[in-house]
Amino acid sequence: MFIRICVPIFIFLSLSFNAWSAQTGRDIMLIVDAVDNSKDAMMSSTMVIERGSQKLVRRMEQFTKKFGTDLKDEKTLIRFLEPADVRGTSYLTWSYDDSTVDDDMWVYLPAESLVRRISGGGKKGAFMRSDLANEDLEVRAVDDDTHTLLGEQNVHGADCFIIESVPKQELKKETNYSKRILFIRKDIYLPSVIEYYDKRGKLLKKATYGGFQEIDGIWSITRFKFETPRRKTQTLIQRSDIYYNQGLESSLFQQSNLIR
Amino acid sequence: MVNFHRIVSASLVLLIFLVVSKAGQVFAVDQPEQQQITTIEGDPFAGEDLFPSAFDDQSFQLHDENRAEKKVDIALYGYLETRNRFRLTDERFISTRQRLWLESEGKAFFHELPENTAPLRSFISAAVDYDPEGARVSDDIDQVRPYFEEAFITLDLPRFNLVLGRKMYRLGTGDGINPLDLINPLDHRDPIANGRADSRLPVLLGAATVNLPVAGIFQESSVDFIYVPRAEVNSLSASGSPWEGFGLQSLRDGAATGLFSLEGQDKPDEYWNEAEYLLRLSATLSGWDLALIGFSGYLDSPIFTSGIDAGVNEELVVTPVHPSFSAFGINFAKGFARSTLRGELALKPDLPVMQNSSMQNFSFERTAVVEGVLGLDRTLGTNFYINVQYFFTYTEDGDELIGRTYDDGMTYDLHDLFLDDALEAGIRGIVSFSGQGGTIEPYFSYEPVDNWVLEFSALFFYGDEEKRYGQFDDNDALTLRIRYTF
Repeated sequence: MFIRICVPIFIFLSLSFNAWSAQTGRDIMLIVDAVDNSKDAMMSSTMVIERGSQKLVRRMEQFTKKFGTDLKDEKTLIRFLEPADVRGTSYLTWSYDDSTVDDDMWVYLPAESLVRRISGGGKKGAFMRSDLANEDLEVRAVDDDTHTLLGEQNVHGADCFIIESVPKQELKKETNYSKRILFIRKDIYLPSVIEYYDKRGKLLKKATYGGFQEIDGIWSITRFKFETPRRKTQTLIQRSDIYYNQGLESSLFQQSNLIR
Repeated sequence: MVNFHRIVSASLVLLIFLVVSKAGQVFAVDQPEQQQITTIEGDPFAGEDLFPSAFDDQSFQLHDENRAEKKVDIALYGYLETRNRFRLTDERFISTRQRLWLESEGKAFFHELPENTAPLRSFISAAVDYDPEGARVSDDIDQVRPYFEEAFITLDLPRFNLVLGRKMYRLGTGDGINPLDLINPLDHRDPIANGRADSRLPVLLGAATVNLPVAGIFQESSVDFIYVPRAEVNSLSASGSPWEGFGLQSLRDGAATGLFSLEGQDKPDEYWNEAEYLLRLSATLSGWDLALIGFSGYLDSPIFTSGIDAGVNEELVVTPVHPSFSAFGINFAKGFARSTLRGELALKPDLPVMQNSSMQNFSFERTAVVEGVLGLDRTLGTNFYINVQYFFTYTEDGDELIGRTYDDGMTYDLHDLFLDDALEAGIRGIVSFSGQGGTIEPYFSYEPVDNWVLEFSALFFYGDEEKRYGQFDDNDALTLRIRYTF
């Protein structure tokens, strides 16, 4: 009796352990990368930047469409609605999974009625004076970093993998960070927390994710918070009106479409 | 003196915006049902009060929840601005402009999702300027001036875009100097936007864009046709205006001494017969933006011709005219990891060029002119930005016609961000390598909170008083601008 019960349990646990131990950091990040399997998406975002008693507010709408081989490349259009002085300003980005190909980026400035090509030189800069850097908004290709599975930890009541992601040597100049520590939920493979470390290896800022919702079959983050302890600032972001697979027209993502 | 009709015009502008704004509320329809969603355990923000407290203010409302059901959506926004320009030469203000600027954007939705981009849109901008010191210095400036700036409608279909109305239509990949930016004339009242850029006026136009099918290495391709039914050109600055150039001032002096009679500007004034056309074929391939451009229109800056009036006195008459010309060229831009390369090349095969003239004979010749711009901008470190652009003009037979064949120079802008990016400080300007002088403008822009911007700059012109930039040497000025946007 004892053998009939314990052997299957032992086998099951062994297989489970082997399965877990065989799973590398990269394997997990590939699953994370595949969570959003939509062909296109649209959403609205509100960002509140808190600096002591000061609050800055940004509102924007975002459209995304995947393209290219295996739908690994992505076109993103962001239109600002607030603050009023940047209302109508639009950013169009075509980003490629191949890290050797530079992103194509344009900005439309309504006051000048002009579409301008821009480069990714400002990736390290702050996004609209928030705690996010421009690079934090990019979808990083999995193989832009070397991922190491460090272990597991329960975060906010959810079991998480702990992954250390270090930028590949050739990309180190393009980022503010020496590494990121990601706490990836084991159930839905979305991040619960990401810690960002500066070039000296010290904690620079921390992002906490939540508001997890399954929308049209895709688990999505609707709320997140970036904190920069050294500056004592934080940025809260709330996403709404999220729609997937609406068949967005490719022409929406053309630079000729940017002009008001 | 404020005219009665100006006050009435200003009131009408405000009334129109209020009516239009109200109309938007009338057309808005009820909120749709909420989207069905599934949540999960272990959510740090599921039951917390952090987000509600941060987003509780009405101004932090999320994007319009019922937009998918709206048929018409009209938004009204604008700014209040005080811009004061203090001329250093005589230590007097040459402009104390107080401005109320209003913009209204309308959207008509004929279908719901997926695009959620309104296929029919409208845009109107209007303003009231009050500039007592500007009016004192120049007859070009009214003390109170209500006016419409842009007013146009856009039909936006997946592969076709049509714009009709009064609009800015800037062309070019470069910064500051764009040889093929030929649609919008200079704003003669206030021609300097900053140390390296001019200020333009919108024109009545129709612009159609057709997105072409792409294949192979082409990632995007489109063709634009822009039609201006009556060419609009630069107006001459009034006598005594700070922006009255050396040549124009000399002409007026000559006319004042009786050497000749200076006639009014002979501007294009016939709709359809004096139209401008521009055709642009654009493509993006392998990270390059390329555009081929063809233009047929009228010279924006006037040139002067003279003739003998067949009347009783057989007086010499000088007339500012705007001859027609054509231009062809290419624009390109390429983004690299941290830099952007920009370039423009224009051939103007029959450009009217004013000959070196005496005060007894004014005429122009047509000759081939090639203009080009090649520039690079790059971000160093986190936010330090450098933008330098070399420009040149080659004039065939230029030595004989205008005294020089080759004219070149450089525009520049260097700036960085400070105080958590609230402060931008830098220096920008133009330097001529052909003895035309230049400009240099240290500046800063401070945005302590949303909606408020404070800008300060010191703009200096230098060079010979007869040359392009040196002629405005007396206009070295400090400018303070404070803007509240709503």
